Amino acid sequence: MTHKQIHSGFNEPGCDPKACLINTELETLYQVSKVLGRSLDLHETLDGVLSELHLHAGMERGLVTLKNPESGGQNVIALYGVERRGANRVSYRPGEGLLGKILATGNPLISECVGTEIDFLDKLGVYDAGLPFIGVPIKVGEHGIVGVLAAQPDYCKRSELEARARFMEMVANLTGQAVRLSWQVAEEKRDLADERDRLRLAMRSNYGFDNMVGRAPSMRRVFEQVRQVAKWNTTVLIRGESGTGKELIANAIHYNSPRANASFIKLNCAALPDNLLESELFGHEKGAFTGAATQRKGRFEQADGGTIFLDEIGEISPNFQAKLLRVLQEGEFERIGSNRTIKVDVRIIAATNKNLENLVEKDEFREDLYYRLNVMPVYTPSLRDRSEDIPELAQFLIQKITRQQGRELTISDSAMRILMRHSWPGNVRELENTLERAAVMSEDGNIDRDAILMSGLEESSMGSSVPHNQNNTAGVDLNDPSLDERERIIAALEQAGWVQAKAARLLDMTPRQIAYRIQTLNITMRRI
Amino acid sequence: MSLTTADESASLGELLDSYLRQPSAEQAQRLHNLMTQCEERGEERSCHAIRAALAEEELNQGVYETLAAAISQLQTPFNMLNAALEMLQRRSNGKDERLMTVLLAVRDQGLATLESLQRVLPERTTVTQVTLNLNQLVHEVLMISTPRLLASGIVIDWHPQPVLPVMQGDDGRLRCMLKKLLDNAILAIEQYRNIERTIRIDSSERDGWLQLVIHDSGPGIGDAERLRVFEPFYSNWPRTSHHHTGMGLSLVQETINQHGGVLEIDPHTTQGCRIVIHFPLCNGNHV
Repeated sequence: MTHKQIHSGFNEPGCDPKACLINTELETLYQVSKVLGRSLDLHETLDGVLSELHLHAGMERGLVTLKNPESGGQNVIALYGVERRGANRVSYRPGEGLLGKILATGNPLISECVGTEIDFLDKLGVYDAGLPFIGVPIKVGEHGIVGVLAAQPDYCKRSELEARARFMEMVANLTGQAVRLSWQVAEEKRDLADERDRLRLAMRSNYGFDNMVGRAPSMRRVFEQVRQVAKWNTTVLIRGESGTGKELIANAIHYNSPRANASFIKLNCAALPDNLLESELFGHEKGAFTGAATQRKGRFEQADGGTIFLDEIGEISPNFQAKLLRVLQEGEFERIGSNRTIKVDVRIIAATNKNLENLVEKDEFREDLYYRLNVMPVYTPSLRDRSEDIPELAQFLIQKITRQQGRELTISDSAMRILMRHSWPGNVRELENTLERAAVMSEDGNIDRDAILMSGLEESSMGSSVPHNQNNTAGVDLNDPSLDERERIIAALEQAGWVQAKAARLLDMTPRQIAYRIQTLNITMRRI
Repeated sequence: MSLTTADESASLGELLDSYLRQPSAEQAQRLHNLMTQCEERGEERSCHAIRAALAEEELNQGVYETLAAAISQLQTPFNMLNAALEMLQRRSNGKDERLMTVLLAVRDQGLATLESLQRVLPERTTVTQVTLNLNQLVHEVLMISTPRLLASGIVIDWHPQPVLPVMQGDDGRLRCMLKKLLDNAILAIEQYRNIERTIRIDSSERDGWLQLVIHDSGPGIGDAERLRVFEPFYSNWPRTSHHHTGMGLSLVQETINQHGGVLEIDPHTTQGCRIVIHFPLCNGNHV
């Protein structure tokens, strides 16, 4: 105990005791203020404050309790010299013991000898019953009294107790601010985490299997593959023409896997030059290169526990391929400008529309990386190979556009027939864009043949690549009463190969009549 | 005394008749006893029915998923072989012809094996969609697990939200899923030998999602295992205890996916294992 007394300076000869006390208290306040500015972690801060009180001010066995809003009692948050774990378990009911009394009344409590107090319970078993005891409430602006700061002065005269209690109140006020700040931070953190979880759930509902349309056998096979592959951690390579929904497949794998709750990070490898790609994926330390003003976490670190989707993997340079290979093999990398190896648990999904085999042959793609990626290839079929899905896809996309534009949209059969005849080199993306443009073109919300033609789909370019679809109007019954006049004439024209006279015969009209109808109904004729 | 349903209803009918003809306190007491007996037996029977349905569901789903997962796992080395062969073929230009022949034979053999396995794969059972109450399912699963819970001295702390909105889903699969999760929790507690032996179950609704939390006082799941436990054929239980195929949590995840839900093993829990499940309330056609 002697070193503490030297610190607190009570027994120094030739010093006015009152001046000495004030000096010590000032010094302690300075140290406490330093502790308060150091960290946002409440436990760390309180432990620091108690230890300053103990070492500099001779206030021993310091303790901080905070009110438990649920029970109305208080829990011990920090106790000097006692492991946090043990102290944390001790709690007081409302009004229980000396501490309960302070919390209930909101007044400081000064006892000359704690052992003689009736309310003294010694629940913690750390107090010296023969020494005085000082307990003061911790007040925080709008919250009122939130807890208690208490300690035992190691040695002091009775006359000094009042002064010491006032000093404890000063420390309690300062501590109150730290409590308020940490509560505020904790609350904001909790709100953000809640918000994040809510958004993740919302994202999840966008990527179920119900958001993937396809009845064609080739597509069913892909779905089954996705379902199986989602269960393991294997690297997946998605291959297919552009616009076939590679990203949608990657999303489905992520959201149907146990990683659904963690991040799904995507990056288009072709969008960034090599050096930027590296810092984007692996992150960098402060000062690693010109312009690296702060430290930055890379996408791989952000995706820890989740999935990373690397689109256009065929575009990366050989230098970068080597680095990627290491992540694939070991799950390890370093930030740029750092020696520290970071290990992450990330599932990698890569996608490409390039022929990787050709690239390997031309030495543009590393062979070992090619093998690593090819563990689970998933091939997305092109739209022309599954044209039976076009009507369902079109309906699905129109519903999606309906939601986006906020108005009811329908599609006519004649428009659908055009869609079925097109060869769709841009696949589903082209279909979606066409429908979106057509929806804008259509005034009344009905997407008909004209709206599709106005959206820029060249009718003359159709048909040749998909001959089996050419006669799909043959089945249309021209006498079907549900067809409106315009649709009926278009269907007849299609069946007649756009020869007006022939169409007129089909409809039992004269050529003049059909020409008049075409004019009044404003039907765009197809040029052959 | 074992009475069949027919016997029971016959004797109940007789007793009721005689009571109505000549009401007496003694008759009323006998009637009451018999009715209580019937009620108890009815509950027992519904337990049996649920158990039987569960077993069947488990078998149906289990066989398909296990086989499908095995085929999928076989696919991996096959894919790698295929990729290597492709490159070799491009490069060899007629050299190493004998080696190529052997490798091609291996590939064809592998392909044939996979195809024959695909053929024996039973039809994937379709998922039904009924309106159901999650609380009711939890109650039923707890009911059939009661003997085991009692034997292990485990306390169930069940906090259902009193009025829980109904959801759409396959009751058989969901019951199966809950049973698996509960069995896992029981097994974990049995092996941990801790003083605290509780499983806390909470259900609630928020923002259009149903939330179910199952928190056991077992040893919990380590960081390294948190994702791996969902892999098919992965089992973390000691090999000596029971026979574990390692398909349990994989099937649970499958059921979650079929309902458009999310399952997470809470990484922030310090004591035991806390599983949080979310199911969407309003869904078009998730299954």
